[in-house]
Amino acid sequence: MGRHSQSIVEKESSPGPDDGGGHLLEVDDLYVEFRTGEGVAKVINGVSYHLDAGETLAVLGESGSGKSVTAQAIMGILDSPPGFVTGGRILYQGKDLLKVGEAERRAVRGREISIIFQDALSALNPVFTVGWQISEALRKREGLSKKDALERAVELMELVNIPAARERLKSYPHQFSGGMRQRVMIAMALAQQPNVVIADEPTTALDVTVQAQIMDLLGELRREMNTAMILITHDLGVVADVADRIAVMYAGRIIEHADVHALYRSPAHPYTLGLLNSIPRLDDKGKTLRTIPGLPPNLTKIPSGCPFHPRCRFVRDVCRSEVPPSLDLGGRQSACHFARELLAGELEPTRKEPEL
Amino acid sequence: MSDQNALPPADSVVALAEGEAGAGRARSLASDAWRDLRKNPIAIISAVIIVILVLMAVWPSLFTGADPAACDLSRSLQPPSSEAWFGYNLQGCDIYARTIYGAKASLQVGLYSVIGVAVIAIVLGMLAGYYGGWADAVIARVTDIVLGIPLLLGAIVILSSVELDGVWPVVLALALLGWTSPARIVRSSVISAKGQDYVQAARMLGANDKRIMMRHIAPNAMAPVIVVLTIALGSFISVEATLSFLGIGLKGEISWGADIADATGRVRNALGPVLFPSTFLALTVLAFIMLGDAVREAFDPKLR
Amino acid sequence: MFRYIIRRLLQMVLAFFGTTLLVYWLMFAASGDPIAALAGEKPLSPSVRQALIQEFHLDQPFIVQYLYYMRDLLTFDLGVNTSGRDIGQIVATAWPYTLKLAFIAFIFVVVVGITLGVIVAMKRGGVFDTVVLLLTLIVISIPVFVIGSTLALFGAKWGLWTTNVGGSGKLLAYLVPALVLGSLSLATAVRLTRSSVGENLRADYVRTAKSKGLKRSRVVGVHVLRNSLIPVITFLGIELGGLMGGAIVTEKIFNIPGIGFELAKAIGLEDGPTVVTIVSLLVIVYLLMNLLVDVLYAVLDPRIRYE
Ligand SMILES: Nc1ncnc2c1ncn2[C@@H]1O[C@H](COP(=O)(O)OP(=O)(O)OP(=O)(O)O)[C@@H](O)[C@H]1O
Ligand SMILES: [Mg+2]
Repeated sequence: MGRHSQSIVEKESSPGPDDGGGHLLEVDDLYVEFRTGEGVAKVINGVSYHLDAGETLAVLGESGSGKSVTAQAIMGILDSPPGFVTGGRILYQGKDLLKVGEAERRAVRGREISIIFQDALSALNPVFTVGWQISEALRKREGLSKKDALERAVELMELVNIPAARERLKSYPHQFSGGMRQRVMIAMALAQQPNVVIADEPTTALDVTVQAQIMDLLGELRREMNTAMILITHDLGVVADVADRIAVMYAGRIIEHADVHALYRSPAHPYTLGLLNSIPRLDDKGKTLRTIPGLPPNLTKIPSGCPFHPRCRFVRDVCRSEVPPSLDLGGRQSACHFARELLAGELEPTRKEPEL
Repeated sequence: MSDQNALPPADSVVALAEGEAGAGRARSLASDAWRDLRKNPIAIISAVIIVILVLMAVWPSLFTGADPAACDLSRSLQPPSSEAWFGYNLQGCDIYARTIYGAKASLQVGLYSVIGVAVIAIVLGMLAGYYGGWADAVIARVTDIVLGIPLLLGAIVILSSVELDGVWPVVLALALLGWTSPARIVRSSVISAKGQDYVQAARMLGANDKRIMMRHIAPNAMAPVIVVLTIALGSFISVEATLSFLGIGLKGEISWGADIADATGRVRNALGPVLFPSTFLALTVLAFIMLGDAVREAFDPKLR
Repeated sequence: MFRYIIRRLLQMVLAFFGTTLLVYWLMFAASGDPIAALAGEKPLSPSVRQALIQEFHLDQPFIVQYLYYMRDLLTFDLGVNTSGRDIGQIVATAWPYTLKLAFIAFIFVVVVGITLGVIVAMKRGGVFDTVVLLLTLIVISIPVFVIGSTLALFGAKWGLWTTNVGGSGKLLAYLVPALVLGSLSLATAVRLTRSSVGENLRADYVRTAKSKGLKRSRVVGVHVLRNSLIPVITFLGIELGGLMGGAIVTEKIFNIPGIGFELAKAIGLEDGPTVVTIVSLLVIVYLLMNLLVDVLYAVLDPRIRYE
């Protein structure tokens, strides 16, 4: 009850015991594979990233790069089988979530780390009212009475700007518009006042105008509640205003990691460069947009060496044979053999059209 | 009645129809499915059983030299011997011979009723699906009415009013009552095929309705219809046996259902007369239902 | 919701009249001589003949006969059969037996079917799953009367259970017949529950429920089950209507003097009025169950309720 006697907005910000410079959440060298009939898909291959209290990390990458699977591994909601974590650690407040028992893991879900899914229509249960669904965890986990929990649900719905919240308590998900449904999803994710919110492409399923509203709402709530956020997206456009740092994923690896401004100013990986070149900008009207040619790799047969080499304009021989290590470039990392040269603007393309 | 449940839920078959796109894809799906089927042991076993049953129906003398109608009360209820492998029933007839000869009526009923059902279902389903509008509405109401009559009860009513010989009354009853869910499947396959680009194109090029239905839509609707009809064949055999068991099914034919009824009605402690025809009947129904199931699995893109 | 039910109700009324008309027509008009259809091969005395013409208004046009018949049926004025017995009396005596049998069978189907279905869905692909699936396939394939006859035979041979239930009031005597009656529905219910639960376990909302930190028992027992049961309950509702009619086989085998037994007897005696009346009553029950299921469906699935 104590947690809930105060208003949601003025929540204590301390993330708990701070063990000597440790991060709030840290994914360390994570490996995940899916064992299916067609073979083993190595979906996550040594992902590492961290998140500190109150900050926002954007995770960027093409479809299929493993952004959602990493998030599911953090939440402990991988479909297993076929998905298995085969290596690495997920540290929350210094404790490895992969080592604790199911009960302890469950205690973290929703209350410490929660998640907002992409498609709210299928992520909400069609046969229960939204009031019921938002208040469910409060009743079952925070011990609130049914009446108090519904009262909280109204507050939460008002917090995410759902008009006539009290009247809509008894509505079902299919009776809401896409934007309103996503607000319900957000209210549900915030219900237990988590320290970390993972937003997995929260606006992909929405209209462009509604997308902006939802992003604004998320940014605002995050600031007010001082919640840390992992924002998963494949849209570089939305990241700039919201995120502090960016991690770029490719074929289940983090291939570049930097703070937002550094990354926008000068990308240190050809893939990031390609992504940046593919966003339309006001100032280069004349130029045609360049998309990255080729397709993401088949995860059952990841290319040798640098997984990006078949699509890379700067490819050299070493890229085909050796997996690039993550180079530390002073506060930022890049997994490209030639990151320093690229940063310095000294790397020459080896081809116009990459071999496909 | 509850035998209708043996039919697969229409939706799953419909989904299968909707999963296909063009005629080309339908063809490659069919060849994939065929390859799958040949590797599926259940499909093979069912097919073998069905082939044997067909042989029994066509050439019963291949399997037995005994005459099923040559009964001799002095042999009543004799146990199995080298002479009569399954023994003799109450009337002193050779159970093995009767079981072999009983296959014919069952298969005939199954086959003819399924053909009847197919004709009704394809005609009505195509009309409803292709033309929509009031044709669809009328057919939907008629379907509702027929669905309101449980199969077994409806068959009882029909059988107690028609006067035909041999397997025809039962065939008539089953065909008249059994077409509803196949028709619904045809209808929804047609609707989904109608929306495909190549059908639209054929229409714009001025192909007439009949040609479009025959050349473009019918091949697409085939797979789910074949599945549901295979399974229906099994359940029709089961209903026929049930009707014969109740004494209103086949008259004047050797029938497993009637023989089982005879054997349970009077003597309650002779196993042979009940068990042998029962086993054959169950195997027959099982074979068709399993084959239909296997075909559906082979065609279901979701299960691949 | 209201409009949905009204629409279904109208469709149902239409189906009801269509269906009963069809049954009635098949019984009387389809054969040349309605009296012969009613009485079968039995020779009738002129007075009985006259009574039948009176009762079924055979001197009137067909559609008028039908309307009279429906009026009588709906006011439970069921008339007399060819041997002069009051059909209403017959039905009233037989009904409780069938109800009892169908009810026990229904309990079997619901309890065992759903429980087993959920268990196999959770252990999909395991040995238990495979065995249960195979068993249900076999049960679906064997005609109910074969299962019934075989069980009756075993019961009689080794004295395991009674095969002649008669008018016995003992609940225990009904267990085996009820199991036989429900066997097909039971097998289908297991399969349906299994596939429905299996589908819902993979639904996105399950992830959402898990990520709230709910216990697995709650995720499955509340979120998944509530969704999975919608098609199962719909199926079961229709089955309850079907079970009554299916009782004809079971009641014949186990000698239970219910509706099905009377129907079988009437068929044997070629007693037309009784057959038509009982079949019509069973069709009415079946249609009512269908309507009930539609309402239930709307109650269970809000997406339909508010369409
Ligand atoms: N349940 C599963 N079974 C098998 N493979 C899976 C499963 N879930 C994810 N994958 C595979 O893992 C890979 C990464 O998927 P993931 O959902 O993480 O991609 P993503 O980066 O989130 O892409 P998107 O932008 O489309 O959401 C994909 O190749 C996908 O096929
Ligand atoms: Mg994703």
